[in-house]
Amino acid sequence: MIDALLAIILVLILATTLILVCVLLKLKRLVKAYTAIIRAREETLSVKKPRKRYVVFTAICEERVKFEELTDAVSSRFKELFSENTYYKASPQLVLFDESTQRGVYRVTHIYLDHFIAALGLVKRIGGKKCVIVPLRTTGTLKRARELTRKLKF
Amino acid sequence: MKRLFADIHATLCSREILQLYYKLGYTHVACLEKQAEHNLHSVNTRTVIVDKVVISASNIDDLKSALTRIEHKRTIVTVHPETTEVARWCTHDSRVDTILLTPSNIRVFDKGQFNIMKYYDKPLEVHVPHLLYSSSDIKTQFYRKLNMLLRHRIGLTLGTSTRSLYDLVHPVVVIKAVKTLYDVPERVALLALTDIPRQLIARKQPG
Repeated sequence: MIDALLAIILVLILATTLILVCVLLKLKRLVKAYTAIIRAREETLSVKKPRKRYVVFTAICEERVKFEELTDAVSSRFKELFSENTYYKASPQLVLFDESTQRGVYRVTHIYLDHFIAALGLVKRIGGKKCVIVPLRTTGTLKRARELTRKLKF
Repeated sequence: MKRLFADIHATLCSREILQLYYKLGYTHVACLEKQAEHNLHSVNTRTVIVDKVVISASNIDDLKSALTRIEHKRTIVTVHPETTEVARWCTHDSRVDTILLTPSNIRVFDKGQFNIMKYYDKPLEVHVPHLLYSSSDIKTQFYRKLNMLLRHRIGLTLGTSTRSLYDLVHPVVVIKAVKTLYDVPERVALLALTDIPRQLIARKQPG
């Protein structure tokens, strides 16, 4: 009699532990799913503020190039490589360009800095003239970029 | 600018091109053709220049006969395999330094080829103009092959294939372009322009 009771109790204990493990596993999965949802929501809500970066460059060309020719060449190359969609997100602007020294500064969003440097360096013709554009340095302020256009040696 | 870059494939080396190479930060260059060798002497002191040969072979006998004619201890030897058997054979030959991947032989490079290349530690050479100025179909194939190469952890070397002064590309631009267009990690792209080609060139350096 006692043996039978003990056996029943043992079976019951085993069954309850099995049920508990199953419930815990389900709960674990639920917790994981909920945390993933919360994280995804946080990520969508926190949009990064696009910061500005200034790229100092020099152009080595057959003949001297003009401001408008350079902007046209760079924008068309960028669009060709990374599409128009990426172009307006990167929003590159030629801030200054000294036609006598052929040095200048481009402003671009920090997220698309790598894309911009790739596009800038791959410009091979500006207004029909063969060119090599060399990105010299990247800075966070226009003041420092202006200084570098004068100071940097190449 | 730190001077640490190396170019495994320059089609033509003239005095002006080598000067610009030095300005852009390249210290080691492998040249397919040298223009007026005596003119290069002053540039030579700053930049290490070695000869380079590209062997295009469709069968093993052609490759064997071409390899016997080359002074491989002073020259960078690159094989452009046109068939799978040539690709497999040249991988385990110690005279061959790199294996060239171009749009014409892209089908030769399969999983088996990459496995052998990993086993024999043979780097793959890719030319930058092929990556940048090919059609979109070829770019797709290059993307897949480069992805496979990265998964197999095989050495990659990038050659600029410079023919004239204005063909030259700044090394940082090459790294950023490969990173953004082909999703190659920046570290791998940097190694492809520095450590791997420099070691190959330095091994062949005269004296």
